[in-house]
Amino acid sequence: MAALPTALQVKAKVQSRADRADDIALLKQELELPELDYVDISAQIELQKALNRWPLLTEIERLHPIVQPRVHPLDFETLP
Amino acid sequence: MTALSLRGLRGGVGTSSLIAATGQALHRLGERVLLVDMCPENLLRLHFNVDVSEPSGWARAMIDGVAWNTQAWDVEPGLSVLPYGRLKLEEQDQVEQHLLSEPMLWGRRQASLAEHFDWILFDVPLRLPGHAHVGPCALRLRIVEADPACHVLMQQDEASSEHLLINRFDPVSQLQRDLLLIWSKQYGARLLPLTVHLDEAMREALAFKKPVGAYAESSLAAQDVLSLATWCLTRRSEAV
Repeated sequence: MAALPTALQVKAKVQSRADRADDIALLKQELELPELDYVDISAQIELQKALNRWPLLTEIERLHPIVQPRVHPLDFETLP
Repeated sequence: MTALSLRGLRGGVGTSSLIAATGQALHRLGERVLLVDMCPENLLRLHFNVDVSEPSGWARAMIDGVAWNTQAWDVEPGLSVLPYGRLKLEEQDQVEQHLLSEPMLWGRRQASLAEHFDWILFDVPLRLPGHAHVGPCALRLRIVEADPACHVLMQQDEASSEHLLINRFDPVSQLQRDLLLIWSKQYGARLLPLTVHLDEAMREALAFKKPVGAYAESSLAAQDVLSLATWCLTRRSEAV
């Protein structure tokens, strides 16, 4: 007769439905690259447009920034 | 028993109508519900067909020295409302001082009601910190409208951990869509995954002295509030 484990053996943290639906989170898990810095450029652009449309929102964004710095394409001419 | 509090970020965002609708929706889903009006405006009872001229309520009882627990109205079996009562301004100040000096009062009252109700919903006023001592609440919702005034006020209220629920959302409005996008990014999981849409049925419901789900069951606002009630039930089961 085997003894019952004293604590539940949890192999991995159970993911919420939101986590399962997040393709990027799944990709990071699959590649074992949790630190992968992924920026959703199109979402960032939409957010920036929303903030720029209204002067009060632009002003508040300067005081409490929520937009991450934009990622720029590499300028090959300046590369050594 | 689970306690839920609703408080507007500013005045006039429709909190009383929303809490009346939420209570009715939870009751429709089979829950035993008590709604408590903590606001001196004393409007919540009107959604449940209590006479406009009726002066009684728990705060009136506090001033008059009578029992608070005899002041509730049974709307239907399993659905009750406890009004604030009609008080003069100086009497409201007295109640505020009393609640400030005895912050555990509503916590004890909650405990005494626990076996009779599955939910107690508190309609909490804006600027009366004593009246906001409603005891432990598993769910606390801050009601906002997607407008620039709420956007400014939310920046000043960053320390808060209350959930944010957008009321009277109008998807036709570019500004409201922009604010929804910004708030989704800024507040993440604090922002509820549903909104209550702008719907004339919500105003008409008060004019008919009913919660919106009883006045216009198939209206957009009533359907949104049913989703809100389902979200509340889900959150409760996750918390257990």
